[in-house]
This record gives sequence, structure tokens and C-alpha cells, in this order.
Amino acid sequence: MKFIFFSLILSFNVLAAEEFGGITFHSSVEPQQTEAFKNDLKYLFQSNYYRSDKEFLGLVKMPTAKGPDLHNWLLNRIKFIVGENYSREVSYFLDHRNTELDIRTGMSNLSGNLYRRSRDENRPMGLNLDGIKVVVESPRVGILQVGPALFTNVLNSELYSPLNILRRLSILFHEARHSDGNGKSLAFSHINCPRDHYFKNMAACEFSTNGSYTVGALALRYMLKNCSQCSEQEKLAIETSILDYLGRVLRESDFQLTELKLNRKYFIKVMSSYQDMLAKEKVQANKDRYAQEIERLNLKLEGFNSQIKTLEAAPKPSLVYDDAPEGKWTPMSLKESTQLMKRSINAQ
Amino acid sequence: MRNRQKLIIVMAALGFILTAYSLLKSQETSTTIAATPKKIESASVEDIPSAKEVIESKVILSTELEKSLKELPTVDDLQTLTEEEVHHTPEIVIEGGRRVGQILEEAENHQERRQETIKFLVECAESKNVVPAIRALCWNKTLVKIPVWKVFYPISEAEVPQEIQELGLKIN
Repeated sequence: MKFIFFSLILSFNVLAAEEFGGITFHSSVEPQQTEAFKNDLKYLFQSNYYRSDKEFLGLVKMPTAKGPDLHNWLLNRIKFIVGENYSREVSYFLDHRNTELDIRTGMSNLSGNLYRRSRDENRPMGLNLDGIKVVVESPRVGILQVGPALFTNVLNSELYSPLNILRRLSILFHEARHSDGNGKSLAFSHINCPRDHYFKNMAACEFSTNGSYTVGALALRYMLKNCSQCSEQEKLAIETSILDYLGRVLRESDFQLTELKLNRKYFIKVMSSYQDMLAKEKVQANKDRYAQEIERLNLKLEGFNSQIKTLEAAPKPSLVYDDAPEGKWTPMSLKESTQLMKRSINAQ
Repeated sequence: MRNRQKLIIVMAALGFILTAYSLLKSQETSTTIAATPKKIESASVEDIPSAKEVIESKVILSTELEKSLKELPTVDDLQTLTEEEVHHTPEIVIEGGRRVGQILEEAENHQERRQETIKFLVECAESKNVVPAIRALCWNKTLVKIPVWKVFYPISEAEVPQEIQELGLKIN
């Protein structure tokens, strides 16, 4: 009796997971969200892409970027999507210990961080996904978690408006990029934005010009170029998002500039106070000391100004990180991914 | 031979009759045109807006756009958001972009709004506290719309930082 009971529970869980276009949606994903994802993937696969974007093609290393190509690129990096409330307990398959994963932010790529921990702690780790044990031997296992921001219907518009479809797809491209990289570039992690950035001290920036923000931005730009249904207002809203993403890609010199300018600001304040003191001082010896110090500070300021001018005139470019994935994984061919998608569409 | 001659004579006569008829007809038409001159539609005096009305509507538009400029999201607004909220483009930033789009749409449909709209776009690009992505968008649209709308505005004097100008180019 117990056996029948547990079998029913297991089969219920397995049945609750859905697969579409090669991506498995965990039972924790809300049904409405699963339907939206399916619609988004179908849109991506079936859209016509008449207008090219060389920069995007170079970034994702595709000679052409038709719907099936884009779907294949995603599928090689995303295999599972779990819901917002999915319990983040991680199983160690060898000794059955469970522990919480510390993942922040909205839609998250869990496999990047899981793989890093597994590698650093030298023990295999994985997740139980509706009765299926998924061992994370590479970030390319591709497990994403839905975040609260993903299904906020921006501008109170429809779930299936072109704006929301494109926005969600760009987030998928962004998160998919976190399945790439190796060594120093593993998971293409974000960095804290510098102090004079509008997202100062938040992990919302990146150094590389081929990281997640750039991939998300250029994917969005490419899809927008080919969006015949987007209204004028939606186009401007999407363009703003593209610019927002690209504004988070820092040049190596940006941090140096921030620090130099901050330093200069403090030195100017100190110099200004010494000048006040000099003006009020009656003792000659003190006056001489202040004057000498002001002269030295002036030289320092000239140095700062010169460095700032040089960096601003010829900023050091951002870095291009190695995007080859780490760990054990099997690539999926275009033929396979196309078959999976067509089968899913036909089954609808 | 006789039959052929008869045929030629008949055809010539017919041709003469037809030509005479069409000539007479064209004379009638021109006489008719001369006799009844076309009525010229003219706007009534009430339709032409007065100088006062033009100035008033410009002031209203200017006030409306100034209000829109103040409502654009600022860097200070972003500082109130959590890291989770800023991981992808915050909704207030997307809404700001949509609002700029709405202003452009209105100018596209109403020519008299274009001059003030270009002014709005430049002021938006110059505004130090407005979110950089929106400043860059405004600058991009300034450069795109000036030649399309054929509006004059001295953009060489615009105080738009280089990085904003460069960012604005990246959506094209």
C-alpha cells in the first residue's frame, strides 16, 4: 500500500514537470508562467530575422541567427527552469547532506554557482528536479530559477505583448550566458559597480564586453530590429533597456578614473582649507609651512589632472573573456534542437 | 475599282464628320469653363488661429514637457531600489523610455509640437540627475529626429557628456 502511495506521489511530480522545446519546466513554475515561456520560445523559433546585426552574430559566434539557431544557442545553455518558490536545497548525492544555496537576484542561473562550489569543494552536487537527479558537472547543465522581476508585466501591458516577450527572452539570453566561461571567466559573474556609477556598489556591472549584460542587450537589439509588431512606445521602452544594459559594461579605466577623481576631490578640499589658514595666519614660519604644503599639493593635483586627462582621452578597452564552458557536457546539434522544438509545437 | 473609290470617299467623309464634331465639342467645353469660373474654397477668418492662441498653446506645450522632464526617473530613484530590482532594467527606467516614446509619437502626429519636443530631448540629455540610459536615448532621438523633422536647434552648445553621446549611438 505504501509502495502504491509513494509511486503515485512520484508519478504526480514527474507528470507535473513539462518539457517544451528541449527545456524542462519544474512543477514549481506556475502554469501561467510555463505557458508564457512556451509562447516566448515559439516566438523566438518562428520569427523572421530579415535585418542582421553583425555585432550580435560575432558575440554569439553564429554565422546566421535565424530562429532555430537562436533556440539552439539557448538550449545549449538552459535545460531546466525552476519556479520562484523552488526550495534551494542542494543534495550531495554521495553523502546525502543537504544545504541551502546562497543565490541572490531575480532570475538566477543556479548551475554556474553550483558547479563552482562542487569544483571547489571537490564533491559532486546536484538538484532533485521532480524526481530526476540532475548532477551539475558543468554550468552548461543550465538550471535557471524564475525571479520576481521576470513576470512583472511592465507598463501594465499584456503578458504576451511584444515588449514583455522580448524582455523575457533577453533575460533568458542574459542568464544563459552565465552557463559559459571557465577559470577566471567561469559563469561570467557580475562585479560591483564603481562608486560614481548610478548602480554604485551593487553587483550590477561587468568588465567584459562579451558578458551577460552585453549578450542580453545585443539579443534584445537584434530581436527589436526584427519586431514588426512592436509599437513606437514599446520600441523606445526596449531601446532604453538596451542602453541600460550596455551602460553597465565598464572599461578597465573606469574604476581608475573613479578613484582618481575622488582623490582629487579630497585633495582640493584639503588645499582649500590650507589656503584659508594661510590667509588668516600671522606667524611667518607657519605661513611658510602652509605655502610649501600648498605647493606640494598643487603638484599632486597636476598629476591627478594629467592622469585623468590621459585616461579620458584614451580609455583602456573592456576585456573579452574566454567563453568556452568548463566541465563535462554534451553539445546539442541544431538538428536535434530543431526536432525537439518542432515536436513540441506540433503537440500543442 | 469603283467600289474601292466609293469606300475611300465614305471613310474620308466619316473622318471629316468625326473631326468636326470633336472640334465643336471642345469649343463648347472651353466656353463652359469660361462661363462658369471654379468656386475657390477659402478658409474663414475664424479658422486661422490668432497670434495669442499660438503663443498660448506653445506655453501649454512647454509646461507639459517641462513636467514630463521632471517626471523622468533619476539616479536618486535608482538608489532606493534593491539589488534584486536592479539586476535587470528596473521598471521605472522602462516606463521612462516609454514616456519619451509617447512624446515623440505626439510630435510625429502634430508638426507644431516638434520644435518644443527637440528642446525637451536636448534638456533630457543634458539633465545630470536623469538616468543615463534615458539621457542617451534622448540624445539618440535628437540626432535622429532633427533631420527628419527639419527642425533647427543648436545642439553644438548642448552640454551632453561624451559617454552619454557614445552610449546613445549603441542602439543603432
